Amino acid sequence: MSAPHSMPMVVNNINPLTMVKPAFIFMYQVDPNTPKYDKEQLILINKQHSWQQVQSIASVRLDSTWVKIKFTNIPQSGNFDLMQDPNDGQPAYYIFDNVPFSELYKQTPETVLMAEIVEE
Amino acid sequence: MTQQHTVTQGETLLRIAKQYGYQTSKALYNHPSNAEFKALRPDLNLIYPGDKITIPPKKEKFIPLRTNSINSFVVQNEKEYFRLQVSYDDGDDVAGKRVVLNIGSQTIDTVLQSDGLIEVELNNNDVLTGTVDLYLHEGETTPTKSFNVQIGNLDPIETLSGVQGRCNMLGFNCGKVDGVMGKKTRIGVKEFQYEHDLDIDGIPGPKTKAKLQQVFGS
Repeated sequence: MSAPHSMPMVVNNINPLTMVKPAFIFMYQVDPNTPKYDKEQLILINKQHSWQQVQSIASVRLDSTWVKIKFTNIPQSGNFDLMQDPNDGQPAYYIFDNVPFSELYKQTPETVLMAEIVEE
Repeated sequence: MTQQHTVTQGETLLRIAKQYGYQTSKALYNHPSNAEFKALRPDLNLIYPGDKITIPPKKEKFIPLRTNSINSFVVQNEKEYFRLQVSYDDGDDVAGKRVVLNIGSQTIDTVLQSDGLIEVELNNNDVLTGTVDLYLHEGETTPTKSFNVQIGNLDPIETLSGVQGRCNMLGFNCGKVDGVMGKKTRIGVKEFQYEHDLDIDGIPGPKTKAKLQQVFGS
């Protein structure tokens, strides 16, 4: 459970409150000119929980060159690896590895990539 | 004699009006001496610390009354409300989720309907702060999510704190609502921009603010 901040609200008008389910959201840019770029997969791994989730770029909405990958129902402890698998016979490589849950949101250089961890 | 009131954080227009003996917020808001203020703040529920409100002198009214008949008077008694609408980011139904509100002296323990809307009439003399506890999983005894609310504290969209407050409510985490452009705020703004097909630069410019105001509704 998290209650990090006070929520300023407006009187009388409706205050819409959106509840975000536990997820790791990762946004990054792809080069659509690269052959088979849409075959690429991202794999989030948590060894302590023997958990992993694969998300394919082809399965998410592509808006210009930005792709938003959302890993849902992630474990809320342990360390995480994020791997990028070109899925074209070339080896996969780590985007980051061994990152604690609390540090997930800091992982990507914000000029190109950004990520956010949200928790219930 | 005409006075001037400078708005402080957390004040509402109705409470300011009542402080000076007026019964409605519109008595001040629609008064010609506040035309400039009204133009600056087109939504009377969204005023900002530092705003100047002119308090016109109250005029005595002389009302002719009839003898041997009933003279009816209607006293305007404007109320303030707190309205919260809860939803899930993935569109899941919120019906049946328990919510406990502690606002001022009131405790409201209720269950959401499918529209997720809760409405509470605020007591005149209560403080406009409180807590909201959401129980999102069946059988929970401690809230899944709990946060403090400061009613009347949402800043106008023109301010960075106003952007942060709206983004946080809509699930785009900008961190603390402090008017400071930090890393979390940039990320939250970028996420909002992505979701709404705006240029993704993390800067809340006019297009981003307009869209945020439209999506939030205030």
